Amino acid sequence: MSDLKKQKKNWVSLGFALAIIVGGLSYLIFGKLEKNIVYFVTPTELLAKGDLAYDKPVRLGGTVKKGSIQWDAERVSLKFLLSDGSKEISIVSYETPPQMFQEGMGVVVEGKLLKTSSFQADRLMVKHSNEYHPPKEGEKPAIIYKELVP
Amino acid sequence: MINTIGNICIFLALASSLAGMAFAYFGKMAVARKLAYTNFFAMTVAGLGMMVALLTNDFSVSYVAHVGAKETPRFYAAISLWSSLEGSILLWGWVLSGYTALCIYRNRNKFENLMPWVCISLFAIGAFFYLVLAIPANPFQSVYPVPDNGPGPNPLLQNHWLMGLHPPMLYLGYVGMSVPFSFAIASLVTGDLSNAWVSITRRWFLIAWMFLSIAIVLGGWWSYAVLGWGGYWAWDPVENASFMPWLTGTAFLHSIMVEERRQMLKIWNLVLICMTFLLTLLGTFLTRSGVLDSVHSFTESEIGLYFLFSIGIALAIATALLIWKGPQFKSPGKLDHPLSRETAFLINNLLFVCFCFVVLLGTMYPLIVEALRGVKVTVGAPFFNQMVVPLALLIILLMGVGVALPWKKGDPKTLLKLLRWPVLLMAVAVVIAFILGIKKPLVLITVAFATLSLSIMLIEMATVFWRAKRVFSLNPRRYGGFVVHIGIIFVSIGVALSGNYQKENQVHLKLGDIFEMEPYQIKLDKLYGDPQPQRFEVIAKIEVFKNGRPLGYLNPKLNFYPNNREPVGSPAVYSTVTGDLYLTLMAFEHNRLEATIRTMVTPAVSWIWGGGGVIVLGVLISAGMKKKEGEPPC
Repeated sequence: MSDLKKQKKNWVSLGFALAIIVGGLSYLIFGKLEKNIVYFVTPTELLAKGDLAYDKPVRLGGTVKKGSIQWDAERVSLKFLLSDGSKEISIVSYETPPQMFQEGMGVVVEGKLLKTSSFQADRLMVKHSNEYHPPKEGEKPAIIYKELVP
Repeated sequence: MINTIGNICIFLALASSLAGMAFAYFGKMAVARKLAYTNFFAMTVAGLGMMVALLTNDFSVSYVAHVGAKETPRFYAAISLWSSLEGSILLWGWVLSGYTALCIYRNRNKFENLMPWVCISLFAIGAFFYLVLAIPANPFQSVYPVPDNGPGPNPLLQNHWLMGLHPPMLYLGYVGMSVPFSFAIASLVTGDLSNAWVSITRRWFLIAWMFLSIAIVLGGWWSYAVLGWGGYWAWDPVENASFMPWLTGTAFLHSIMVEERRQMLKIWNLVLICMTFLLTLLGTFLTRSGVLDSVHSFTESEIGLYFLFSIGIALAIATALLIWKGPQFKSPGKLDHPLSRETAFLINNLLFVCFCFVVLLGTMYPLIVEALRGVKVTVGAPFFNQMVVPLALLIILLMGVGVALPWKKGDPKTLLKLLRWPVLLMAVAVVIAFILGIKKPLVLITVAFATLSLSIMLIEMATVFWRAKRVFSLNPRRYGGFVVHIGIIFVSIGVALSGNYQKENQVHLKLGDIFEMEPYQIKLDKLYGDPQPQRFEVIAKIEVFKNGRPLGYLNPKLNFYPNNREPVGSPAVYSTVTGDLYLTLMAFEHNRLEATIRTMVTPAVSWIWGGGGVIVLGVLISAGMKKKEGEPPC
């Protein structure tokens, strides 16, 4: 075989090998990705999924419904209703809520909707962004915290 | 006043960069050099001016009005230079002007054909940043009427002294990548890819890589010390942004040795340099444009468009030059034998590039999905962990086996002979780890590979010391590199153990209650408030015992800032070589009698910070020590 032909054959086999590696890797990566992505949903969107909604990790966003917070400090268990205005879902969490956790506040919970139709939250996040935003009109955190500890 | 000075300086920096490009292009290097120094001088005045404005609470300066507050302690006022967008870009430009001046000064009599293009490239990058500073992210805008006070910096960024160190290190690393990138552009344009080019590019790259490594470790440490969740790495896009250039950078530091010794991979190395630089720009774009909150939000921030544009231009120029000019570089070297150090380096490159690809994809995927399907998603940490852990394990294995292989052609018999003791030590380490209670297979594999690599390197260093009575001065690059590898091994062990064997509890304690957590006992002693000028602290005084023996007090806090609804915690940590006790005050009753405490016992966390120190030491040996004899590098 001439050198040129040999070189050509090498390139072809190299191409094949690369295609197999890249193809296999992409298959693996995208498969894992699809399994591990967590969707952001609202209670309405989650409930609309029906049976498909159960036991799939999601991030659920909404506001804490007034008068719905039940906090048992001894057992570190928290229950409340998360609402998006039209639908609401009952949330159960075994984490301490953030100090400022209160009614009407926007929160995001990460967890799964159980068959018992309550949502078990593994993480509870208060909506805030990385960049600082000054308190809105009428919000006076400075006063709120002064009242915290007499 | 400061506004005027600042704006004149930014304009001067922009003008001197543009003029410098022109003078360098026409070969007037003496003038271009002076312009580089002018540039650095102007940015230094602007940077120091901003610090003065921050320290004197000059709220007529827009940036100070945005992040300053009279109550902020002096230290945090000074470092709030990098607590928000405009200040960060100012620091960026300042660091870049410093690098530009230093690079041009140090090489004033060298590389006559390369330096004009290095200059042009550095000035061009500079011009972009000064343009951003002049228009969309101008920190020196006049505020009228002048406010009495400002909101203060983001509470998270005025909570720990590490904030004074982590961002400058990150910028030194990120911006430092501009220098090797400029050398790469210069070599593509001029066709000069001599040994001297390799040597100088590698050195600048190594320094930037060291700063980037420090920044990543310090970032993890900051996250651990401030955020209160007991971890240090969450595959957050901001973290990934700093990690991706580190990965391609690490690939480059290895493959450049193959070019040096075997005249191979020349174009590939240029590609790696360009990728690393582009990833630093991408990281800045991701973290600074708001694109991560929503695909659509970056169009609202002007700066996102600027960065997208700059990435596009840099990518286009680099790709065009690589395609058009790359083929001029012949890589005459060939792979002689599959069992050789070259092969190890090739696998290393493959692993690091795959690693980077996985992180990049996981970071960008939410953006892609949102753009294509209009739904918001996040990619969970399990994706990264499942994909990355096997790659990382192979890298740890290769760290030892690679250095044991010779260049060109290895001999299986010699290799096996060399590996006898390390393999034995590996087996012993695995048995000991198993007896100590480590049962998870992946952690055992980590321990095995880490011990194997560690012992290969230590045995070689001991043998060399036995024969020559010195190690590092004999071959600083090789043994400095070993030290870096040992640092990485420490970090890996720390990550494997702390990531898998953390024990967490949340307890609600009344005053005087004792909670037992092997081997520690904690007792809630006191709960009190402490007003500070800039914040109100609520402190839980907790007495800590280890197996009944008192160790002293830990004081986890919740800090309430007037500008933030959410309190920011200060966890308290008792740190030892074997593990940490980490306490966070989660909540308290207003009667000051009860508090909820999160307690975590995490093994080997301090190994990660220690490993970071060892890495720096290794780089300093490798880059800073003079070799005594004329042996070939590595």
